[in-house]
Formats: sequence, structure tokens, C-alpha cells
Amino acid sequence: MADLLKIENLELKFNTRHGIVKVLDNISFTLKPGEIFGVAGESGSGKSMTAMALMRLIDKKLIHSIQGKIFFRDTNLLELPEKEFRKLRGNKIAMIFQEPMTSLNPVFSIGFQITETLLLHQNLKPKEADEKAIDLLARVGLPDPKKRLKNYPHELSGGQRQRVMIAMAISCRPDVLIADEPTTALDTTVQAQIFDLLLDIQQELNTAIILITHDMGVLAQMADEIAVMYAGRIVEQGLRDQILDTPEHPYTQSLIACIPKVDVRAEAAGKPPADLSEIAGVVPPLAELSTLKGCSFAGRCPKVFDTCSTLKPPHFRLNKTQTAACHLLEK
Amino acid sequence: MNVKNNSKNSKNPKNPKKSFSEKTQSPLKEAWSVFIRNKSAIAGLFILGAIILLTLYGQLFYGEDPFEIKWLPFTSPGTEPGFLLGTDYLGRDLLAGLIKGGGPTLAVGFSAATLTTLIGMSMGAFAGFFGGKIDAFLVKITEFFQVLPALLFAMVLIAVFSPKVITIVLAIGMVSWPATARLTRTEFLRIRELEYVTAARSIGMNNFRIMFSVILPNALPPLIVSATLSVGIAILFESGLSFLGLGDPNVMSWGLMIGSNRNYILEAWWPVAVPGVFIFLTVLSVSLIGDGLTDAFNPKLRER
Amino acid sequence: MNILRRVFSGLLLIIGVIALNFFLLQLAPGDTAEAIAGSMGGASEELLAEIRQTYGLDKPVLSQLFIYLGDVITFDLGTSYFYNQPVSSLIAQRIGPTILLVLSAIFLSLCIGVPLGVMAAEKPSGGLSYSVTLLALVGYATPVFWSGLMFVIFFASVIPIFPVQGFEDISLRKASFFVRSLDVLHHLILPAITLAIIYLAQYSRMARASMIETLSSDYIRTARAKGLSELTVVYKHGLRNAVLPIITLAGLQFGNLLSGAILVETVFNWPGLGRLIFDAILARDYPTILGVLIISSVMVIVANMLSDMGYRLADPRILKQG
Repeated sequence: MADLLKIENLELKFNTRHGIVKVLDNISFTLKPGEIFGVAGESGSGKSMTAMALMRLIDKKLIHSIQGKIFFRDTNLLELPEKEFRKLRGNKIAMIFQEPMTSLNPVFSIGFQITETLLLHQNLKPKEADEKAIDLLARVGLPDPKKRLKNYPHELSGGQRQRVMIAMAISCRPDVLIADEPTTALDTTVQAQIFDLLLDIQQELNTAIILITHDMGVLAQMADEIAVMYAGRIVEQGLRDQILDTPEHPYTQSLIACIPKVDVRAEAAGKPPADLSEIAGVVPPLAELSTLKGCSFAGRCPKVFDTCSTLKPPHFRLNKTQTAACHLLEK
Repeated sequence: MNVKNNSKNSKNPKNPKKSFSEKTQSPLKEAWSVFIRNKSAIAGLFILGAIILLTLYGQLFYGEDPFEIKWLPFTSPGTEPGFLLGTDYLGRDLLAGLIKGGGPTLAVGFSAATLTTLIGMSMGAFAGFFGGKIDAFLVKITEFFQVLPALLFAMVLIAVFSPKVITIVLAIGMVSWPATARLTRTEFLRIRELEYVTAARSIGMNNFRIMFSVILPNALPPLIVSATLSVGIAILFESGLSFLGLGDPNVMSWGLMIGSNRNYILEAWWPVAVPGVFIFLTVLSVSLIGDGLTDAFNPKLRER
Repeated sequence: MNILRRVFSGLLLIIGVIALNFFLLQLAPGDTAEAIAGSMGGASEELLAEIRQTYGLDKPVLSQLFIYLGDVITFDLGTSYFYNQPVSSLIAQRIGPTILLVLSAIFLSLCIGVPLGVMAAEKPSGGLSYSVTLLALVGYATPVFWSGLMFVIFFASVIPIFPVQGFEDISLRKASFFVRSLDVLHHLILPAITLAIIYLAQYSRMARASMIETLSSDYIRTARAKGLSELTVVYKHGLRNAVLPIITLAGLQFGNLLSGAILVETVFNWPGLGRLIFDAILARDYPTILGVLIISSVMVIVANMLSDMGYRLADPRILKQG
């Protein structure tokens, strides 16, 4: 199948008080229609920044330069004028954010906020838009959707608000849906419901989803393909099973070790679940990254050796679908 | 560190290192170091210092009586040696008035601001700390004083109790405390729920000690700012009253100079313009200092 | 329901204002009857007794207060000692110019200050932002009566395009209503601008700060992600949230605005309540002083209610909380 979205060597640099800092380094991946592409990594790994760059939602004052190509079908989004891009944004490429509690405008009704998108991108009459909004709210599983239209965000729970956000995002049947940690702020039970909803939508509309999360467990259940990011770089990428079964990068291995393996019997017996394996240390600050010569993970890597601190590891192709950037793979 | 609950550094990628080192300093020292790097706040300190020096020590070198008629009226500034800033409509020395008038203006400003802060702080502290019925009652009183138009009420107070400096200070204090009270109340409401207050309670500290030695120090930063700003407000207020002729007629002040000369501005602008510039500079310097303190106490704004 | 409760608490506040000032004025030195007699020209014992009876000054203070409260309900604010006219009709003559002045000042400061602050917020470190910050500092520190006087000097002698004194041109008394209205507006310009400058400065500063905060919020990002134009994002999704604190501020400051109006009225000889209470204080005309205080407090309470209602209209979150 033809590629829907193709990102080639995306590189993003910021102006900061510490000079020019590389925020995204050589990001490349492709997305096929209806595919779920998972992006994993800790906060600060650049996974949200990738999404924001795709949506062109980064404050222009911060950007020093942005290079590479982002092809949506045949158009390079980076070369598209702002006005043209706005026709795609919210329409063919839509996004759901991390904070459902604050992502809806508190002074406008739910109905207004959903129909706003519809009226903007589709040639609808206000009444048709209202009807469509009701359908959408019903589709995302909000009870009594007609009444909800007149509600304001503060009258809904976090899970309900995230459903509204999803309704808004899918209102124009997007080809690409970016979901940035869509459930982080929600209860566990609600989390599962939201993921089920996303899966339903993906199957029904054949929407490709870029699912950004720190939780490898979620990707293990949802994703077709997974990219693991660290410090603004994709360090390993492959099909889901490859990443889960044969992770080659030490960072991926630690992330997978973090997936809680809940022992149902132990829990029933009142014992706490097995301890989460922790990765010692934090992602190095961006300001330091720009001066770093070697591998950015070297400071935390359990398998670190000499070369790591002097040379940045290139991407090694392991097979047709899996790559990883680690000196251990050099043979 | 757990992968899930990562540090906040990532949200603020610009300056993670600095915010870490900042935490190791004491908050007051840190605020001070930010404050003295603030150019406009330092400029404010200098202007205010210069004005205070002028009014305190100016009299030693230039002790002319500002009420005495010395020369022809309406002498322009710089035209007559010995009358640097000229004379007013009666022929009184303008420079003498400026020097003598500064003291009362500043004194009333500072003491009225102190009074405002004391009343406002205690009302707000009691309301915020005790809550419930005491709070509801004190809030009603605060609301009541906010409904009274301040200048009108101060005018009435002065009319009733004769225009003496002390009356004026009391009047300004009585009408301007509600804002400080509201601020203090909000701070006390917020801080009394914090863990260290619960801890203080659990070791058996009494209410007054908790209020004044536990909560108050932590509520101080915004209160210091508001106290600073209320100096400026009090000076404007005093000038307004003196301008209307409701100040103490036996004490020279900048507002009085403007007020008594205002009917002659078309003949002579300087007796009105010059004292006004001094009021302006004083209030400006105070609010520059206040803004500097706000920035220094508020680490969130510091990042900008 | 809620509005009723607010009106009720507003009434209580006004009764409080009346009681406080009533007792305060009792403390004033000097005999009221003598003051009245003085303004009439003589003070024989007979006359004093008669005056005490007509003004009810021979009764105990508390019953005087209740009589006064009863009168206030019927809009009877007593008779001015100084003008020898009902206080209510004195106020009726003077309240119009004050309301005109105050409302135009609010209108000017909001209509210029808010857009200025919003535009400044789009570039937080740009030239306009800098000017707004500077304007706020200068506007705050300038005594309003002084800037008024500076305007008088400038527009009386340098470019005399605006009248600097009074409310209207007496020579136009026989002209049509339209011409007279224009004349009043012409006279209004300087006082209104003088009074507006302070608040314009504060509102623009506040609008800037509030807009900068709003523009960095998550729902603004959502609005952008929808594909809305920057104009819609800023002015539709941003502005309404950013004006909320300004509505509150404007309501809270109405009392200060009235205070400023008194000074401005004095500078420009504007025949409003400020002039009235000023003259009344000089003449120790207590019924008039009390009457103006009551009316001003009512104005402040009404302004607070209006700003509250405005806030409720703009922010749906308040409605349900009551």
C-alpha cells in the first residue's frame, strides 16, 4: 500500500538562552493508511515534539531551523504555506492532547467547539453540523449526546472531555490521527475505554494513528509498528513483535523491563505487584546534548563501553523492518 | 528514577540546570540577587533615595520659609538669582516649597501605607486563618469599606475631625486597607492548608504562633509588594486631598502647592507643573521598586 | 434568587453606609443648628429652637437616624442647609454630568486599553509590549489632577481646540438639542481623557498579562490544531478568556474611579457630584454630604453587580456554582 505519511530526516533546532539546540535529530518513519504507529520514550525524549512539529504547532519564536521532509501523500508539508496547511490541520490530520481537563475552551459549549471544526472544514449548514456533532458524541460513547451539546467543559469528567476531544479530532474523518499520551491524566478503567474507542475508530474509518506514550505496555497491545525515541532521536524502530521480542538497543530493553507484569494471583493474595524496574538517571538536558559527542544514552546505559562516549552511533539495519542505533550492533 | 514519573525538567528544556542550582539558595537571598539585577528597580531605588535626601537634607542648605512672600509673584524659573525655580502667585519661593513640602508628603505616604498594611494584614490574617463565621463577618466589613468611595469618605472624615496630618494619615489608612486585607486573606487561606501548618498544629503550637511565626513569613512576599505599592497610592491620595485644600493648611505639601496655584496656571505653569513632576517621580520610583520585588519573589516570571 | 440575595445584601451595605456616616457626622464639632442659622444670617435663641424642630435635631440621635432611614426609602434625603433645596433635587441636577464623565472614562479605557494590551500580547517582547508597560507605569504614577491641569495649560494656550472649563457653552442655550449635545461632548473630551488615562494604563497592562497567559493555555493549542486562523484563535478563543479578570478589576475599581472623578471635576469645573460634595464639605452642609455619599455608594454597588453579571455572561463556569 502507498505511504500515507513519510517523514524523512526531520531535524529541528531551537533558539535558547544556551544557544542553538538540536531538539529533533534525523527523524524518519513512514505511516501506512490504517496503521497504528507507536512512539515510545520518556518525557523529554522528543516524542511530543515530533507530533507538534508534524502539526506545526511549535511557537515560531522558538524555532531556529527545521529541515527534512514530511510528505503527506504527495505534498511536502514543510513547504506548504501556512494558509494551505490550515486546511489540512484539524481536517485530514488531527490531534488529541494529553490534558483533557484543560484542552477544551472553558467559555464555549461542547456543541460549539465540535461544530466549529465541522463548519470550518466541511461545507455544512449550522443545523447539519449540530446533527453531525450529536452523531459524533454518540459515536465516542457519550450518553445523552443531544443534551451534552449544550454542556460546558467544566460539567464533564476528564474521561468525557477526552471523548469530546476525540469527537472533535475525528469529526472530519482524518487520515492521520495523532494521539499524544491521550490517557495519561485518566483513571485506569477509563484509559482502557479510550484505547478501545481509538481502536474502533481506526478500524471503522481506516484512520492511521500515531500513538505517543511512555507506556510500552499500551503499545504492546495497540501498535503495529514502534519507534523508541531518546533525547530527540529514534534509537530503535521495528514491527511490534520485533521490538517486544528482540529489542536490540539497551534503552528499549530497559523500557520493556518497565512494563509491569501484574501477577494476578499475587495481587489477589494481597501482595504488591512486582517492582517496576527503573532506569537510573534522567534524559540529559537539551542544552548539554548539543555539546555531547557520543551516544546520548551512554550516561545511563548498563552496557556502556569506550566508543559510546566518543562517537555517535549510526542506525544499524538489523533486518528489513528493524533498525537500532547502538555501537553494540557493529560487527 | 521511575520512567513514568519523570522530572519536570523536560517540560522546561531551556533551563533545567539553573532551576536546580536555584533551589539550593535561600529564597530571600535569591530574591534579593534577582532584585539587584533588575535595572528599573534599582533606578527606582535611586530616584526615591534622591528625593528622600533632597527633602531631609535640602532644608539644611536651603532653609527658606515656603509660606513667606519673598519676591514678585509669577517669577519664571531661572530669571531671578536666588529663586532657582521662580515664585508662585503670591511671590513665594517655589524651591523652598518643594523642599519643605516633600517631607510631609513622604511622611504621610509612608505612615499611611504602614497603617493600611497593618489594618489590612490583621483583618485578612484573622479572616483567612479562622475561616467560618469570623471570616464571613470580616469579609462583610471589608466589602463595606470597598463600597464607600475612598476619597469621598476620607473627605468626610477630614471635614469632621479637622485637617491635621494625623487625621489625614488615619483617613487614608481607613479607606485603603481592603485591598491588602483581601490579599492577606487569600494567602492565609492557601497556606493554612499546607502540610507544614498541619505539622505545626500537631506539635501543639497555639493559633497565634501559627499565624505569626508559621504562616505570616510564608505569606510575606506578596504582602511586601502590596505594602510597597500602597506607599505610592497613599502619596497620590495625600496629594489629592491637599490639592482639594483638605490637607493641613499649616503644612506645606506638593499637593497643596498645586492646589493653591491651580487658578493661576495660565499666568504661571511652573508652580503647578514642578511639584507634580516630583509626585510623579516619587510614585513612579515606588512602583518600580514594587514591580522589581514582584519579579524577584515570583520565580515563574523570572524565566522570561 | 441569587440576584434577590445580592440586592438584599446591597441594601444592607447601604444602610451600613448611612448609619456609619450619620454617626460620624454627629461627632463633628459645632452645633448644626447654629451652622444653619449662620447660613441664614442670624442666630437668635428662638430661631435656633425653631431650626432644631424643623430639622428634627431635638430628638435623640438614634431616632434621628431611623427617621432619616425612613425618609431615604421615599427618596427624601433631607434639605441642604447651604443651598436650602432638597438634597435629592441637588443630586438629581449633578448626577448626570458625573455619570456621563465616569461612563465615558470607562468606555474609553476599556475600548482602547484592552485592544492595546491584546495586540501587545501577540509579541510579548515587541515594541508595543514595551510601550504598554511604560504607559502603565506612567499612567499609574501620574496624579490625575495634575495631568488634568497640564491638559488645561496645553489646550488653553498651545492649541485651543478643546474647552477646558465647564460642561456647556451658555451662549448655545437656545440652540437645538443636537448642537447642545455636541457642545457637551466637546466639553467632555478633556475630562474624560484625563480620567481614562489611569485606567487605560491599568487595563492595557492587565489585558497584556492575561492574554499572554491565555495564549499559552492548552485550549489555544487545541484551537490551532483545529485549523482555525490565527485571528480566530486570538480574538475568539483567547480574548473572551482574557477579558474575565479585567471585568472583575473594572468592577472593583469603580469606587476609585468615582474618587478620580471628584478630582477631575474640580480641575475642569465639571458640575457633578464631586463639586457638590466639595462645596458641601466647605460649608459643613451635612445633609448634602450624607446624600452624596449614599448615592455614590449605591453607584459602586450597582457597578459591582453589573461587573458580576458581565462575568457570569462571559464565564459559564460561574453560573452553576451560584
